[in-house]
Amino acid sequence: MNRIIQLTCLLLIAVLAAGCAVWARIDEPLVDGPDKAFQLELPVGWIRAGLATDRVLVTRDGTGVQFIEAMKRTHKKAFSDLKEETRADMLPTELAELAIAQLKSQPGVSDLEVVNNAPATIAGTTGFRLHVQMKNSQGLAYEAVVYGFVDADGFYRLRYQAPSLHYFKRDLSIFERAVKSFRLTGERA
Amino acid sequence: MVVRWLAVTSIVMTLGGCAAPGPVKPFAGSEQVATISEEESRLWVQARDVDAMIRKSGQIYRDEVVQQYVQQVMDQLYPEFKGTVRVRVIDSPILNAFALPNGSIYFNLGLLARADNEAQLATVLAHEGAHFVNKHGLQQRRVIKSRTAFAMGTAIVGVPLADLIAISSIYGFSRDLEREADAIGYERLRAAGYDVRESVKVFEHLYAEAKALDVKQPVFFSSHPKLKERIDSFNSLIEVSGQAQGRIGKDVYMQHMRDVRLTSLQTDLSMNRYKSVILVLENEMSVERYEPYHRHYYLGEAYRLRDEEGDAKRAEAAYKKAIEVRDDFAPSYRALGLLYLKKKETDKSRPLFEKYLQLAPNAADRAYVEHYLNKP
Repeated sequence: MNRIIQLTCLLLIAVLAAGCAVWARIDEPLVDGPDKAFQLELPVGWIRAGLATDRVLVTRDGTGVQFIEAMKRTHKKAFSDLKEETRADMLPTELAELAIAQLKSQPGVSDLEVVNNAPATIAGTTGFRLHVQMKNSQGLAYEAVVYGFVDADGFYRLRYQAPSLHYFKRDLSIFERAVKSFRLTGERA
Repeated sequence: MVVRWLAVTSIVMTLGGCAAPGPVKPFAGSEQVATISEEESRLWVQARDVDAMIRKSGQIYRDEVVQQYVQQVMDQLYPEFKGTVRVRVIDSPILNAFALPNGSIYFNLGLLARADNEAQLATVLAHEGAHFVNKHGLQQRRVIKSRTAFAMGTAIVGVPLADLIAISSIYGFSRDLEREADAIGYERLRAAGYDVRESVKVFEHLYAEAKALDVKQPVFFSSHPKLKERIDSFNSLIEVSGQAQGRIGKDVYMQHMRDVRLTSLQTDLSMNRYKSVILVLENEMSVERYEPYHRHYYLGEAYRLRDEEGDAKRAEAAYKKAIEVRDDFAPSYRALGLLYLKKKETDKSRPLFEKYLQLAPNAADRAYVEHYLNKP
């Protein structure tokens, strides 16, 4: 019986240890995206979620508080949750429309309001910059800034999200710096 | 999600097959609400939780005039329950309405936008009001409680019994209870002086739309079989009582629904329900329901967003018509401009964008349009 308990404890420790390893502190500011498709500078000391292998996901205080996310999707999978695809010739306005629809479709999201929606240049390509306010299922007000653009390879999105109270403004400039540093490093870059 | 969907479907099917429970005395007036049993009290507490959940979700439609109008129609149908039965319009494109055991009635914007007149609105309200007055929530609860196997089944698939309050309301009650609601609702319609022939029409419209769109949601007012039952049920009631003429209330309804219908179209478009928008706007009834320039413009938007083969041409034709019937509606110029820009026909898009900014100098998307204008 004792042996079973010991084995169970060991197994639990092993699982927990593996769980800890999926979060890693950022020590080097230059971070590569999945498949080295892009690169961006992120703040040293923030934590990166290793489990999110299809994107770069970092946070300072936990993803429930704030996060910065950078990802690339193929055109086919760009908005798979909306059953929508992107194309290389899509206008920034059209991409922003899809980004708004995607935010609205998230579970628990309500009262979404567009604060600002304008064209923006990301890694030398024209895309959109979207700033929205919304509430979660607990009624907490939070904000998100989303950048997006398309190229021949797919759709790129950078997103920052945090509660309106205290957190959003605090880390917004960090995100904007990350967007400025974003560059494509894949074959087409 | 799939598990939950299966659970909900199985619950709906199970409840649908349940026989009507033992007799429950209906409410005779608002004063009886103060003396409800302990069992009912528990049900009301759960219903209030559902109310709070909906309120928190931010889905309540923010147009007090429309909210008051719908409430006023309800109060005419059930005058003795004024102040107890509270109707709230929800900003949802799903065609549905439902009643909770505490007298809260929720009416989705999509359903409101599909009705043609006050008599049709009153038909749905009268039906939902009957669920409250005749305590169908309580009757349903007793059925559920008496079916231990069912309760165990739901526990296994993870749907707490408390959630059933909302589920049975939203997805419909048993067939017998729904028929009872039809009969009571029908009498209320007659008593309030509405033209009862409109009752069948509203369900026929909804049935036609649900069939054309092949709607899969099992919610009560979007389900083909349940709508078919309503049509049959109201036809039988008319047959028995005779076709008494009455009030239709078309003008007053049209007046109140102008913004509702547009909001509903916009919500549909933002949720990628292009098929639904095209069906609604290509229907001959849309001529009466929408301003011509709105009809053409939103039809163009639906085609543009759907983006299937030939849709770009359809969208172009629709935008042009919108400009033809009203030359000072700025969004039509922007939309047509974007269409040409995508085709790289900048000589055509440029004057359209300029006209757009001239008509709407403070447009929220001015930065985009200026960017497109400055494009070489």
